Amino acid sequence: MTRCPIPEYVRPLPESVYPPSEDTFLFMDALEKERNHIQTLNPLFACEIGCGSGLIVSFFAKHIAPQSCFCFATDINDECLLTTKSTSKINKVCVDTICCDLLTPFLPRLYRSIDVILFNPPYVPTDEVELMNSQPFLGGTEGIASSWAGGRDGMEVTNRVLNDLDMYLSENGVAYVILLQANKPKTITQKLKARGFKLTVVLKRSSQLELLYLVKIVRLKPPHP
Amino acid sequence: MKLLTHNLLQCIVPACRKHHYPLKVTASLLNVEENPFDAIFASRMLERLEYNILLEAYNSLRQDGQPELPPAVPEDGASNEVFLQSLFFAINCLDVVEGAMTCSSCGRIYPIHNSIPNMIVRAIEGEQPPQSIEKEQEDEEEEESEN
Ligand SMILES: [Zn+2]
Repeated sequence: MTRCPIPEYVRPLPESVYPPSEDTFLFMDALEKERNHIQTLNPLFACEIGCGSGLIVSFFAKHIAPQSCFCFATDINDECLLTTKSTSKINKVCVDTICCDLLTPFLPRLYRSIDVILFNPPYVPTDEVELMNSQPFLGGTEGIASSWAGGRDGMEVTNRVLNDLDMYLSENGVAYVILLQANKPKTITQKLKARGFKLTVVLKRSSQLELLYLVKIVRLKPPHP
Repeated sequence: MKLLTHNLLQCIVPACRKHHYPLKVTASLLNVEENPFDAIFASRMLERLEYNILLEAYNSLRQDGQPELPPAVPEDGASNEVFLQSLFFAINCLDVVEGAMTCSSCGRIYPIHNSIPNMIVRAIEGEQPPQSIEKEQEDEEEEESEN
C-alpha cells in the first residue's frame, strides 16, 4: 500500500508554533491505519483541538475524511491558526480555524455532535507555574509552551478534554489522542471506562525521550439522553 | 470564518451560555471561495443549522449577484438542488476575512482577523474559566500499576 504523503507546510514556522515532530508523524500514521473505520462513520463534523502547524488536520482533510465532512481546528495561539490556514491552503483542503480554548464556544451547538476529534495535547509533565503561564484562561500567555506544558502528570489540559468527551462526541464518534507513558495510560483507561468510554491503543512508538501512544476513545454504549 | 462556523458558535460569557443567543456578524472584507458544490454536504448540514440565524447573517453580508436564500426552508429543501446550491454558497463559500461578531445578549465583541475569529478566554478579564482544571488526587494510589 502506498503511503499518503505528508502535507506541505510553509517554512520556517513561527517560533511559537510547535514544529512537526515524532508525535505528529505517529498521529498521521495512525490516522492512515484508521481510515477505513473513519470512513465507515461517515463523519459530518471533525475537528482538531490545538492544531499547531495544522499538519494533522490537513492530512486528515486531504487523505482520511470522506468528501462531505466539515473540518475545523482550534488553538489558543493565533499564530498556530494562521499557520494552519496556510498549511490547509497549500494542500488544497478546507479547514476553518477558530482562536479559542479547546471547544468552548461550540457548546451547546455541537453537543454530542462531533464525529472525529483529533488531539495532540500539551502532554509534558510540568509544574503548575509552567502550566499557568502557558494558558490564557489561567492568566498566562499563549506561546510555544502552550504546545507542551501539561501540568501534573502532563494531563491537566488532556483531562479537561476527556472530562467533557460525553458532551462533544456523537454517538459513534471517536477521539484520537496522543499520550505519553508518563501520562499513565492505564489509569486513564480505567477512568474512562468508569465514565462509559473505551480506550484502545492504535499505535505506539518509542521516541528519543518517551514511549508515545496514539489512542482512540469511543463510547462503550449509546449516551444517556 | 465561514457562516457554517458562525452558526455553531456561542458567546463564551457564562451568563450567555445557558441560552443560544445569536452572534451578530459584520464584515469589512469578504472572500468567496470557489468550493465545488456538494449536495450531500448541504443537505446533511441543513438538519444541523439554525436556519434563521444563518439567514440573518447571510442577508446582512450578501452582495449583489450572490444567490438568495428563501425566508424559510422549502418543504423539499433537503432535495431541492437550487436551494441546496444557495445554501452551500452561504455556509461554505463565503468567508469573513475581516470583521466581528457581537453577542446579541451581552454585547461582547469577538473580532475576526485574517478569517480567524478570536474567542479566547483570558483570566485577566476577571472571568471564571469555562471549566475548572480537575485535580485528581486519587491518581496517587494507582501510580504503581503503570509500570
Ligand atoms: Zn454574550
